Amino acid sequence: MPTAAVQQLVPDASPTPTDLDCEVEVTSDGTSETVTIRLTGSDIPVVSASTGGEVYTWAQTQAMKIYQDRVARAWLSTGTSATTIDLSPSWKIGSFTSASKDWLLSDDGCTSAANAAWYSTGWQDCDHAVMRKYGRVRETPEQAVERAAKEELARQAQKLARQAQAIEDAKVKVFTDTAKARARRLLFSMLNPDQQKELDEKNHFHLTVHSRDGSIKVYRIEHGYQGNVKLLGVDGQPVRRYCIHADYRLPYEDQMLAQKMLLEANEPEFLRIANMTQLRAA
Amino acid sequence: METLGTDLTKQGFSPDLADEPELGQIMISVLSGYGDIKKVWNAANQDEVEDARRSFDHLVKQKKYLAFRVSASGDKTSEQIREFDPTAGKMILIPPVAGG
Repeated sequence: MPTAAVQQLVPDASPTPTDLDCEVEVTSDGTSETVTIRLTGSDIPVVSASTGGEVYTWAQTQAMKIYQDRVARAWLSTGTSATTIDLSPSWKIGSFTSASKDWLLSDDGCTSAANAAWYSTGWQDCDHAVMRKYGRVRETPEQAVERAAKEELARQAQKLARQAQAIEDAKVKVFTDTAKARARRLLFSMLNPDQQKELDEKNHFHLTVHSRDGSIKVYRIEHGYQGNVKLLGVDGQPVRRYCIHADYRLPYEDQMLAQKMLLEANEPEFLRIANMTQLRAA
Repeated sequence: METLGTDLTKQGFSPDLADEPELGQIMISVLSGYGDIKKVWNAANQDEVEDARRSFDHLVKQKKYLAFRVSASGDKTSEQIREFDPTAGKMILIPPVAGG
């Protein structure tokens, strides 16, 4: 028989809740109660064998979940104070013949009792679901009112938090948009008409720099802030790329203005600070 | 993270001033996370000039901002300055730059 691995578990045959039912019997000897739950009408299709009794198929795990669900439902409906339960005749799969109420309903019961295969296939979700569904059965009316009030408060708090976040997001957007618009206006105010046109149409502008060695160089400053300054060759194509920017978060247009001003006012300083990448031979 | 320039807004720098100084005003415009923020001083008032000088020195000499005097000739060029110039009209300061 092939060995089933956790990763290979597939939904090969899912039992349905209608396949199962429980008979509940509560007996008392005067000092303690015993609850017996008989699972009836079930014929869980076991489609793959377990390996060493530790790894269960998806179908088996689903069956366990339904068993647990039914047992918890039946148990809690009795109102008994019993804290352990006999499972008769037994779980149809696995080797359980008894279980504690705490184990059925607790947060960590499933993880402590179950192995990794169960955990990975949703056993814990089932356990939590059982708690949610049946935990309230035992509520007093006052507790129910209190719980409902708390849940309503929590809903209101969540709603307010969402609204506050939306307002904050809107403020940030207005702030950012305004800063960008201001930076663009300032940059435009420092460009000549040809450069303004280029920036508008091509998202970059050219800058002619009279170097101290007497040469004339043409740079292209592209929209951005990193690696966006190019030295152009005589053919107008980039020869070198420079990376230099204000070491703070500024709008791109402010970064471009900083690059322009430093380049035209102090090219040697610009070249000293910037990281240069040679793109091709000059 | 605090937006760059927040400390300056507390010192009277504002993003809402006119872009250009009026005649007889000194304007320092600083690039910040708000876009550029500006402050103007009366060039005829010695106390205000000294206040402008202190702001300039604080940013340029202590915080290592780069300062540029905007050309008044309209050729859209700028000149780097290292000392406060009360006759400059408008000065643009940029935060320290680094290689990327």
